[in-house]
Amino acid sequence: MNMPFESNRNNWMLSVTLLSVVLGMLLAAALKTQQTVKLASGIPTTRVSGLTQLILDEKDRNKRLQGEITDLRGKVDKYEKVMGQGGSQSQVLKDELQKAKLFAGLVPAVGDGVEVVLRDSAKQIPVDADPEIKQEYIIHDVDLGAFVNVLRANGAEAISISDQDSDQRVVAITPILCDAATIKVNGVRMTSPFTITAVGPPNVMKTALEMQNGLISQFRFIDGLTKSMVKVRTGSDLVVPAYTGVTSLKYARAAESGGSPR
Amino acid sequence: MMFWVPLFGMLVGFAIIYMANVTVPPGFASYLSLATLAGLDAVLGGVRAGLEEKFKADIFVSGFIANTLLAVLLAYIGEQIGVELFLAAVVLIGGRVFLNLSLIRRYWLTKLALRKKES
Repeated sequence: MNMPFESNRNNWMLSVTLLSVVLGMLLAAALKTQQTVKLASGIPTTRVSGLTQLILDEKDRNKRLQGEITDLRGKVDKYEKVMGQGGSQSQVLKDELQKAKLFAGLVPAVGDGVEVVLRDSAKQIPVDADPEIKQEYIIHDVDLGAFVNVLRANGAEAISISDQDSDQRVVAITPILCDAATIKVNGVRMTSPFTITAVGPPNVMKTALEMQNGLISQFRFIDGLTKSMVKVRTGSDLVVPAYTGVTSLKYARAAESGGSPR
Repeated sequence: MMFWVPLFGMLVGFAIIYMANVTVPPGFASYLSLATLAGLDAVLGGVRAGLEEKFKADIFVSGFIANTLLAVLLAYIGEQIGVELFLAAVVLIGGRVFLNLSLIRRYWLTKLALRKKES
């Protein structure tokens, strides 16, 4: 057809084709890198919406596994009961075992006690405040630890820490440690508000927390902050769930001599 | 159809790198993706200019290189100063890719219609 344009046309086709080759190379490299990123992290997507779904899935799985643990522990209980029917001696053993398990936190505990609700302050944190002051508005791991300690010192026999997602029994090896914006209890991330449930002498524990120069009176020194962040109430038949974490020990063994103190 | 030649070239380039044992550090992943997008924009711009018969090789080639590098540089600076310039580049270049595609489609359809009229 119109010849003058034909050479020009071939010309642009050639350039475009050449750079298309480069573009293809870039595309392949980008694709490969994305793949290695996904492989390396073990996460099949990097988009936020995909990640959200993944987290939800994992949470579901966690719930299921948690239920499985409860199921299996229940089965163990049943076997123990059946064993207990064998005779008076095994009955005694079974009772001892049950006591030990209650003490260790492996079975749910029910009883009178107190409930402490700790939440981050709803008040606006002043923008120009010192970082130290800003910290006062948030519940920290040390706060949870202090409350658990005071409750224990005043007769608490079973304690759990809960948020809206999970309940964690506080047992002998339970760590309570801050992790970025969350607090990990038994390795499970929790966020405010926290509920500490303690089975024990209700009035003794409540009084101990609320007495003058006690934990709550010294909790926060900014006006009105403590009131909005800490709530204590007594209750009857409070349920403290069983510990659902790992119970097998890798390093500790029972000592031979019966462990009598020197 | 002449149209398929650049596409074929792209496939060849893709195959070369994909088969070859080339790895890029994962830290560069986002930059590489951005560079690819900028490259795609430049190539589509070239096709469009060609169809409009306004194609100039020097503009095209320099545009390809400069746009790619600039996009990456901008994203890098954004990362350093904590502004999501990466997103700005993606939105802008992505928009241009769509614009170029729609224009290319329009020229192509017009040409087809003209050809039908002639025959």
